Amino acid sequence: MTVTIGLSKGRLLKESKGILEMLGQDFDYIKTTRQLVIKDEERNLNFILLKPSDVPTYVEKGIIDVGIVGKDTLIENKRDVYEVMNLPIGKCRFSVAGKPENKKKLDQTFIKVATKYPNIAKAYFENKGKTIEITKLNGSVELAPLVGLSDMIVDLVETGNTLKANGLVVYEDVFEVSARLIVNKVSYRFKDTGIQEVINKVKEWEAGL
Amino acid sequence: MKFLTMEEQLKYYRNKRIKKQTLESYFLSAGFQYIEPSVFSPYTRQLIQDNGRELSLVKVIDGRGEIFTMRGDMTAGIIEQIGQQAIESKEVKLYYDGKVFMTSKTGQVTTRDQMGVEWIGGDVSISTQALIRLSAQAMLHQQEKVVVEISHIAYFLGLVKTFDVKKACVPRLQQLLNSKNEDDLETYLLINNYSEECVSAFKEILTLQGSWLELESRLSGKEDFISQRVLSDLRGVEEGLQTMEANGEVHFDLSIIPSYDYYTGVVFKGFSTKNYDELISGGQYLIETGKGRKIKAVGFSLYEGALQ
Repeated sequence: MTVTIGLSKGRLLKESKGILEMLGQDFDYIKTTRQLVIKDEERNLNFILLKPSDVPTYVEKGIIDVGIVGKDTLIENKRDVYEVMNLPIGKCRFSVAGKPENKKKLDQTFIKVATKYPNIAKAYFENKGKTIEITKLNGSVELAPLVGLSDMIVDLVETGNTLKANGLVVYEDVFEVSARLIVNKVSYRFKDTGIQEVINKVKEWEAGL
Repeated sequence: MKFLTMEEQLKYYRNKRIKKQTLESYFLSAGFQYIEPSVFSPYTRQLIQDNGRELSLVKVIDGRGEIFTMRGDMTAGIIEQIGQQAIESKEVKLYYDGKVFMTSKTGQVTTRDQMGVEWIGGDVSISTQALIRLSAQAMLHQQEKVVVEISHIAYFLGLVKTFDVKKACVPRLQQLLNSKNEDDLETYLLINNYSEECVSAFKEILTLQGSWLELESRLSGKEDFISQRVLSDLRGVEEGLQTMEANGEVHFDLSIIPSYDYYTGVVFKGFSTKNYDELISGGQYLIETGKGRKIKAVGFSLYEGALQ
């Protein structure tokens, strides 16, 4: 029975190189091909390249059996999938950041926040008893506090270089995230042998790091 | 669901009606009688105490300022409605068909069709076997292949008690086990200062799955009271399932822990290859009669996917 694996395009795809090679795939081909579906009939594996935020949706709906996706995407999308492994790739942290002089605004009860992750931002500030106005952005979140759209931002920080380059600083870390291996609940039962083989290969790769 | 034409809409509802009639015929021929649980319940009498469930309940205020909840779950409504009278009869077999109401994570009120059965009283091992078989039969209608996953809530609750797990931590543990998230489970227990022994015990739940023989061999080495009770209850159910239909499989998995807190024993859910979501879920529970007596019962619900 063929197992279909969903791969997140972008940075996470590059970091998935070792996993794909362990699964017997030619990483350079996957990275450069314009094909969206790559079939490996010999190993009964299909690979589908997707926008990261779409991976949990495809896995939940059973189009894809196994997915590699960031925990940030999982938390924001709240999909009903099995999270069978934390992967040592895609490591970064969710942080609250802004202009140094705006840090005191964290003590205000009302804060204007710009983010690509409204659910995470809302949950974080609600737990702290803050009322926030969220502006959902789709990219270049760092711009928002610079032009006065928000007091601060909630975003993923990997190296902090983008923040630094724009004169922004981290106020607080929300939590750390890494990539996850997720599995569709029905596939987990009906394709258990194939999926377990994939999980074992990933564990083998992790053990060799 | 939105339809492009009236014809499509009518076809959808006609097919759904036919499906429901087929299921109804299964239930009637198995000796179940129809019941219509009330839509509203006084808010304070709700049986569900989990915070997530609490937030999903739809609450309304009547003209006198009394708060009521619209039924969020059929079983709880039926228990409330017939719990007292059930003690008078030896055995009651009921089925229902209606809508449940819930508040979504985005704050919108949504409804969901739910059909199911409740078997109150009698030998609970026999009734559970019968309902698992009936649930598989209900799912197999027009489906390719089905699997029923069986668990026992007492194993998880036994560990919660043994390691004195804080009540506030229980929903998160349930969630992590249900999503098979071993890594986060370990981290969560460690940051909440639980012992290594506790971490190992909870992580072990994720390995307590497989065929009956696999589960039996793993549990039979354990001598504690809870493991022996789980083993004995599951054995009682399993014995009657050895002749399941050819395209119906049974799988045991103790990491399945339903969020409804009224379940007390064996629980089960079902999937099919034609549907990505669970089609049925059910389990054993106790009805308290108010006079210190408890009646054993078992039931299951069929979800939207099984009705289409």
